[in-house]
Amino acid sequence: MRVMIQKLSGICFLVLALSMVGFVFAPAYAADDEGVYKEDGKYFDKDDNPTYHFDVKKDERSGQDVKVWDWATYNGNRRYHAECHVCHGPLGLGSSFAPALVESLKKLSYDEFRDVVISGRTVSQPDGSSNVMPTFGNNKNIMCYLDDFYVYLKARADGALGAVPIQKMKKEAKPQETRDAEAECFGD
Amino acid sequence: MRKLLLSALALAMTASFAPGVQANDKLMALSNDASNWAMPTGDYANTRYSKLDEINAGNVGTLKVAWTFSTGVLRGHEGNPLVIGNMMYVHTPFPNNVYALNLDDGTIVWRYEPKQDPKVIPVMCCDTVNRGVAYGDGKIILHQADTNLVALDAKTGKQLWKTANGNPKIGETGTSAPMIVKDKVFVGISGGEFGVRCHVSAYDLNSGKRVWRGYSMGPDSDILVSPTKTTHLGKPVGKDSGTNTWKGDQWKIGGGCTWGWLSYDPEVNLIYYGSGNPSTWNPKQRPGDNRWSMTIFARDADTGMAKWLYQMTPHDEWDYDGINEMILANQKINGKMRKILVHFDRNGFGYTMDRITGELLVAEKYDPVVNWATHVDMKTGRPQVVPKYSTEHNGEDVNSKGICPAALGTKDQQPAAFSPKTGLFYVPTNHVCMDYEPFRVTYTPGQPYVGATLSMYPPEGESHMGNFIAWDATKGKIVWSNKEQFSVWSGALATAGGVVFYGTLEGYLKAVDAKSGKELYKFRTPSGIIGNVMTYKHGGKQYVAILSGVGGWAGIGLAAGLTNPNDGLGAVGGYAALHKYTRLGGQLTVFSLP
Repeated sequence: MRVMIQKLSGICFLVLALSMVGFVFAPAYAADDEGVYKEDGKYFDKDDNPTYHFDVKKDERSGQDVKVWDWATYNGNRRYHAECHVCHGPLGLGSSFAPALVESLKKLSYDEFRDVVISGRTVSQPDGSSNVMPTFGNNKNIMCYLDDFYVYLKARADGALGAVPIQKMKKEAKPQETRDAEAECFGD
Repeated sequence: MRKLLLSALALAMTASFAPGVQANDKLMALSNDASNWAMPTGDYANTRYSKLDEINAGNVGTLKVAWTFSTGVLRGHEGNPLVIGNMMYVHTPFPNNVYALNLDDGTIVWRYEPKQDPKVIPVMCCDTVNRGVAYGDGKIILHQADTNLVALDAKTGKQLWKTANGNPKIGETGTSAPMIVKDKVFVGISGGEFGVRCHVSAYDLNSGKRVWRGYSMGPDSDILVSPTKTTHLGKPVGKDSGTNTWKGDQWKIGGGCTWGWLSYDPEVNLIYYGSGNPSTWNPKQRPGDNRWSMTIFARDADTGMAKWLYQMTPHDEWDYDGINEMILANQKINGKMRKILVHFDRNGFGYTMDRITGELLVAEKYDPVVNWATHVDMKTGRPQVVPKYSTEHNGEDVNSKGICPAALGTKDQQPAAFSPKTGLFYVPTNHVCMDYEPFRVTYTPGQPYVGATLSMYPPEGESHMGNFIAWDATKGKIVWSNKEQFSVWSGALATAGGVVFYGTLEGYLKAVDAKSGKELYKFRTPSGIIGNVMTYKHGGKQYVAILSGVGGWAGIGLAAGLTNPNDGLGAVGGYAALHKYTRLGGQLTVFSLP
């Protein structure tokens, strides 16, 4: 639900800003060439779906270009490997219990992804057994970070993020907006 | 009045000859006959030692496959079959099928195929494993994934009774092998990653009715301790010991699960087991020692009352579950014969205790790379934690690096063996370190309650991830150590033939010399081995049997990033490494001399 509100407020704010000012305007959340913009410490694409983001920076020691990831994608990676990887495999690669999400996220839209995570589903297998995706709608450890799981898996599915273990992922500092949102979501 | 008294006396006399008591004597006799493998652990002492010596160090090199059997189930196959007389009982991971095989003609006499709700699969922490069935009084007892404890007629497979040991809707699941003592079935429960408050329970063997339940944490009446009589390193535990080291009500979701092996000393009528990690894995969220998670329990078999306890890892910060088996032996320490309990903990320390009094005798690292603590203080029993490797000290959202061992432990559930002939313990180990990052989580019943993520890899500068070692528990010293490419996740078997057997994750069954560790034989089975080696005699011939079927946490762990830290491929390197050798598949392979 909170996700929806954020998305809507993003749209409203943009519309409001444009209608009020009516000329070229460069707010802090300005969209890039592909329409990706930042709001409340997170990134959204031109359709207002959450997305991943990285900046390419030169590593001082090696002199090589490295990707520095947004906090949400990093957080999605570490929380995926606490909550999901037992069934969906490390790095989203799948197991005999559950599909490889690096493949699923090539087709699944953000809204479909949300629906499955929130409501769960049961898929019958040819041998008569069933694969069960549990219902996570009441689990704050999932729901407070739903977008983070999505952007991490999307980054994996798009090939933007390779098979990088958590400790090797360079990342931005945890934004204050993220801390505030976390506290609010957990009901502090 | 007199008549009434007499009949009461008669009743009391009958009770003492109840079938259960006979079952105990009969089970002990069955277990003492080396032709059988009558208990999941081989014997009450958990030695996994067999007096059979037809296969010995001189001839084991000529071992051949005698026969094989497909379980028809994929995923991780832990545990081992039982053999009683001419019958073998083989169990499988979820859906927990049981097959009764006639060893005379190789036929399947009966099969039990329970219908379980597949919703239980996502609440199983680390694969859908099951560690085996128990036998007693003509019954086969199975602890299903959905926590149903089921008694089957050993002759026909007919279900005699069924009782729910827990509730999978709140994340409680069954993976462990039960143990039968006298007229009772003892069984623990899994769910430490779901905020379950775990326990060991005793059920009546004949009816399935619960007799007692001892929780790992909670009020004294729940954890079955006496504030004055139950001791921790010789001192009474005092009042409310299961709640007063927890913040508020956190003990209610405290974990301390009990999914390991059980052992029993008939002389003192005590059962022994260990409790697992406190929930969550994020130590910042649960201040205090979190008693009695991570604890060795000695409980009276009849009443469940705890005689002594010892908490190995107060306030766990690494997921060092204390559930590994307790091996009972009698050995000389400092010139004095002691009744000892030997335990190889996940935290990397090998403990030797007096199993009657609970006195701590030896606590030494059984892998030199263990670094999270410098040593165990022998007076307080507390490990001396190194701040650099303390995830509590480093805090939430901080990646604590280079901690050895990894959460898998220097050893996990894969049981060690003890040979009274050599006086040595044979221990399958993991040689793996980790980075550990705790983060905040909140509890929802039936949902994962983990709160940390970790990456695992071999120790710095090394490429092998396992060792198979011989250990002197009287001194706390490694006698010999064999390197293995992957963690050794298979239970060992020691025999009077001077041979020690174990399996590897690539799928090899290996035989080594009990004295030197020299490899004498190996055979590649169809899938990686996380099962335990057992032996039996049938038709005058000795057989050795092992379940293949890679999986378990080892499978997930390997997949999740057990790799060379310098390997740019990261986790995928480890994933590929195991998959270069083996695929899923469940099969029993039975060996004999030609």
